[in-house]
Amino acid sequence: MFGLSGLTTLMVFGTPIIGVILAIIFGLTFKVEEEEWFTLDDLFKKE
Amino acid sequence: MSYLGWSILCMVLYSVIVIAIGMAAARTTHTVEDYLIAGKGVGLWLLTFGVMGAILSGGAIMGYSGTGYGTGYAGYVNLVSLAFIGLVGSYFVLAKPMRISADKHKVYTLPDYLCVRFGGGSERGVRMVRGLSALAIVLGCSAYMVSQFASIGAVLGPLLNISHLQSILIACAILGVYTVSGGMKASIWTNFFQMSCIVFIGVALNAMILPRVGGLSGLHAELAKIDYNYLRPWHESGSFSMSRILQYGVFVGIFTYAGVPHVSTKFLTTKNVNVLKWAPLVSVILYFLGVISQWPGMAGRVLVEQGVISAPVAPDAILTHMIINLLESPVMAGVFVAAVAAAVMSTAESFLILSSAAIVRDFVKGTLGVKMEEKTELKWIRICCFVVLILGFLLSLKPPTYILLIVTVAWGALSAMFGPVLYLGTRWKRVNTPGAIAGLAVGILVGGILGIMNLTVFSENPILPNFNLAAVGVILGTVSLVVVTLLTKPEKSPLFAHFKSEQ
Repeated sequence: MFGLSGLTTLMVFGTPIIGVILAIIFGLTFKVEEEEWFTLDDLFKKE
Repeated sequence: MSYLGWSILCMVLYSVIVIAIGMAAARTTHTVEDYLIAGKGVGLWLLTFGVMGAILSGGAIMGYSGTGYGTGYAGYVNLVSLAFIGLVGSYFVLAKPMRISADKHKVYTLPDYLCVRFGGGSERGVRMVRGLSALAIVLGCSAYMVSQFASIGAVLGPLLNISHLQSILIACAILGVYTVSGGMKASIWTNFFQMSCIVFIGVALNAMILPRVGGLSGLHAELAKIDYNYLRPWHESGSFSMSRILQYGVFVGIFTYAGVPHVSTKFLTTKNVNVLKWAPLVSVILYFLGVISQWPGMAGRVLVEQGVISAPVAPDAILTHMIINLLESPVMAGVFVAAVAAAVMSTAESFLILSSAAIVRDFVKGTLGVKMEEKTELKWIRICCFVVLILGFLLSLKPPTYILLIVTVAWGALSAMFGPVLYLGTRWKRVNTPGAIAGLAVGILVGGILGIMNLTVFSENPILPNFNLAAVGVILGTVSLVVVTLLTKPEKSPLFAHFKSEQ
């Protein structure tokens, strides 16, 4: 892209695009009313 | 009107605007909550412009263009590339928990938040957490402020035809007037204006300079002829080797990005949790618009090589040099001066407030246990803000060569000191007070003290030259936190007290 190698393109243009995608996912999955949040302990919780 | 005339006019206009905004904010600043977290009244646009204004400092305009001129993409990749991911990650990991904690507890500073998190530990342990956090803030903020005043010196000096000393005196005076009185409200409201200036100048300079080198494609083709390293994301060896860049980019840029208090503290300021929903998206877009000054810097390298302009006195002066010698635009010079002042002050404000709060609220009141009524606390925070401003001025009297290098080290130091305890403390209930103390102490020693000494005292013979000390600090801080946590007793934490699983 613009004469850059694939790696440089990824690091210069790709990461902002990844950031935008992640931000959109964040916005769409954000639950305002939920006052609890995920913790690492939830991964090891016994049912 | 001449360069000098336009520069003076724009600086005066800029100063009048920020002082007016700041004084308006000061009229509604009556409590410590108002002063430190803007009374929890901040909406989406003020939050995002505030966060990005704090992040995008003098380093954003002077530093990225300077490293663009001197080294190509490697400097940008080092500090920015992976930070886009880290920025969103910081909202995901920290923003909502911190904002909820500010509703349920009296949380005005990062140390306040950590003391709530580790409130289940011994009183002595919690005091140590607060004391170490306060130390970390003062250490990191001092280093960061030096880079900011250096930026303003590099611009005001040539354009106003004044000395470095006079430049930073002017900046300190303007900054002091509205920050000391208005605190975080003044900071956030002026950030909106300042961030707009930063975006405007970045876009304008790209629009005016890039066409002269054939756009981005032409720029890259010409740079390839000069030195192909300019187009590489990292170099074969040296400060911008792949190893050094990825160490910093991964451990600081991604994993501990909002360990820096001038970002994470902003999460406490919002009027409600809902503000956070689309904040990451706006922030990422603003971030990109704020860092594009690297391209005019790189174009400068091409134009010097082609003999269109002479070389600047220093890499970080490339934009000033091009505005005068290439664009020959006194108007742009004036706007540029104001934009750099905006970038510098939008970050320096945060550090003044954070440092003064750390000294008065967190160290004197919280750690030493000095009793203080709220009015007295607010008065002393303001006095301390002024004192820290003076100290920042004195530390900045000798300007550094690469502004972005100091920014990188200071950011890395703060991330190493706070990142592990903040990120893991928020998302892993098992982390306890002894673990937090270990993480903070190791982060301060390695990422903070040694990192800053490598830039100053040991600059000729750095410690661990093949490693990025901030990244080492993050790793060792994390390991220390985890090991000590697992070797000591679990604790309950007030931060999770409202969770159904804790009841």
